[in-house]
Amino acid sequence: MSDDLWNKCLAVLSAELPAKEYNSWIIKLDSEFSGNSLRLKASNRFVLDWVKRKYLERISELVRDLAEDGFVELELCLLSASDKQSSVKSTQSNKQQRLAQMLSKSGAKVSVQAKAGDSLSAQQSQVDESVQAKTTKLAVSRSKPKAQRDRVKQVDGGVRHESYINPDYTFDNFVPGPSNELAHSAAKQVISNPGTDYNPLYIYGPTGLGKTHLMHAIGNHMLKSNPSANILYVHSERFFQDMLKAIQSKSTNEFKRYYRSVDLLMIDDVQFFGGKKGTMDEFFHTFNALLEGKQQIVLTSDRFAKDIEGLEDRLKSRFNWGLSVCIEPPELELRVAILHKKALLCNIKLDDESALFIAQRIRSNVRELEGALKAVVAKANLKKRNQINVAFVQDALKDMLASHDKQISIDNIQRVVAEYYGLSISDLVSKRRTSNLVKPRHIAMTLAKELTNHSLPEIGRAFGGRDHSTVLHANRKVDDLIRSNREYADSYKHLKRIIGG
Amino acid sequence: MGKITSPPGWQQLPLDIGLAKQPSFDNYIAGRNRLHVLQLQAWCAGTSEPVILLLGSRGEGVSHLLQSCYHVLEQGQQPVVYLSLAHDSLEPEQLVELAVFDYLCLDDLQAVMGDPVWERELFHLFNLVRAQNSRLLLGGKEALADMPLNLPDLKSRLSWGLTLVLQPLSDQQKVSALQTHASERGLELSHDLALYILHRSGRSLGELMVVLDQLDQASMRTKRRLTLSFVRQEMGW
Repeated sequence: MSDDLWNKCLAVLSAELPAKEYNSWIIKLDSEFSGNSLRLKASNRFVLDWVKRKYLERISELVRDLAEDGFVELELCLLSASDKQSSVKSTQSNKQQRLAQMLSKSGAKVSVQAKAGDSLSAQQSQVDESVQAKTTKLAVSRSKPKAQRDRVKQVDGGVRHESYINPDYTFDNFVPGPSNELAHSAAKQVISNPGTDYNPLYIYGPTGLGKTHLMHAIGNHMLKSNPSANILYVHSERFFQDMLKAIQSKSTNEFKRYYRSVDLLMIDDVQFFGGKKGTMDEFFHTFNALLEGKQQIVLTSDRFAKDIEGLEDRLKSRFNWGLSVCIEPPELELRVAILHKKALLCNIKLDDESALFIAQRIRSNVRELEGALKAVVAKANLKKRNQINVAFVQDALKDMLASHDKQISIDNIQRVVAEYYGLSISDLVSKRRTSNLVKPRHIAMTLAKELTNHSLPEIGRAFGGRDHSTVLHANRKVDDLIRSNREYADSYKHLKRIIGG
Repeated sequence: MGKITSPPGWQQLPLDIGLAKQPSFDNYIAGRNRLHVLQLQAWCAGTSEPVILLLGSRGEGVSHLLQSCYHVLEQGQQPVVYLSLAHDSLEPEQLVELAVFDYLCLDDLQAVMGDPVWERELFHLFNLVRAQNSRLLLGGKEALADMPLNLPDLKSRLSWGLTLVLQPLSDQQKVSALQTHASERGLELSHDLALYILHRSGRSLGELMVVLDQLDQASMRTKRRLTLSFVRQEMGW
């Protein structure tokens, strides 16, 4: 029975999946049938996770469809230690090798948790036991579907979606300001009257300004006020992949049912639909069905719908049927307010001066602001500080700001030093040795030694074909002057800062 | 570029800084990057920001540190992958498949920036990693400003995580590093001779290690000790 059912599933899967995938993952599973339960066993947690994420949904459908005796419980678990000892021992290394070969074709290093050795240590058993808790169980029946899948739950006969909403993004922690208040108000309006006037709500604007945050906030609010609401958030790429999968597995009807049975559908970054004809066709029909059913749609994009290249005109016009709102980059006050709010959430006391310091330097988007704050928080945690001042922030942001500076070159150093002393670059690298030239030349050589990895002969050559010993001499002179002359030291520090060192 | 400890069948390949030893946090000479090492150790322990962008010039140890993270996690039996986008022949479309790993170390970001397909796939991977609460460590050997990154969505996501930029070692630290590595190879390298090498070779740690490799092999071949005349003759300085 077990062999029959699983073999039938294998036959279908081998036809549906690319040979590489089938041979790498499906054929490797051991099967065992007892009572009315089919147990599939993966050799390690990595395989278990992979199969669970990529194939379990389809396997459960097949088991449900192909089981002749009605209800069959499907279980995906790890091979136990005894399984390994009794039957897998001899094939274990072959299996792992196949797995590694697939991943290593690229040259990658891979650790898949299971050990290669045949002996099963106590430690290995413990790992297996801990992972056993993660075993995935599916109850499947042809007559009465009860599949608990990754993405769909059958509840009371209806389709219940896994929402994929991030609970961290709420209206409470969204900081409104002039640049985003229109989008904020529109989102609030949607939660008051979903599926009516603002349908679809189309939020657009440059990346990293809070479009996704607002989307999740709508979802979280609707879920809070109606926990049984069917809400789905997906990235446009996921929609595309789901559609491909549905076509490959000949389950387009399920795909349609899945996407059309939601109360709220939120799709992020719809600009990626551009040029994908099949996706646009399918989404067009989904869109119409949802609108007819007065189900709410929220879309985001980095640009106005009419400006999306390769997007069909019928979608462009539909995206504008409801309300299109733009989010602009945050102004200084809003950036400061965002930093204060985020710092509070991280239990860090950020004074106004420090917040202003960050906000003045990071202007483009909120993600970058968050990145800057993360750098500060990470350093504060390592240094065990919860009070932050400007000097600390300045130091913590050094890396982030440096990552946006171009790599330092000798040319750049020569240009900056020449400009600073009112010279031309040809003067700086000339053979002349007048004192007004020698001092800047020494500084430029020393900066090149300190801030680049060029060899000393290379630096010497870049300064008019000089020897490496000249660079060392210049370096010694500059070191002496920095120690003895405060003004000179300040100039050197200033130049180093301009260059980005 | 890759190496695998389990199962067999993988070959040991040279690291970008030419170390014969397996890269680890212990044999990384941190210099001014001590806090960065702590951040990366916290990343491995799952206690830091989940996405880290580690940048540094060639030879400053970006690959060394990414591979150190890989080895720590691999020894802890965590599902982890290390991949060089410059050396490993992965198709961009396969990138999103890596999201099944809990820990991803992707090296040589600079090799694929500017390619719209790679940028788009990295962006999708980034979204998946965040959605699945996985941890992503990206390594690059150029400043972000030098990478021809076109996709703004990816750009903003790269700046979302924690950015660490490796600082070069001081000359004194490089001299010590040369001596330490020479000693590990059974070579005696005096302070003055190390300084001599530093003053004539490219001065990144990677370039210095290449010189040391060359001298090591020449020393074995000719059965001579490292002296000034030997180094000058061998390196043509």
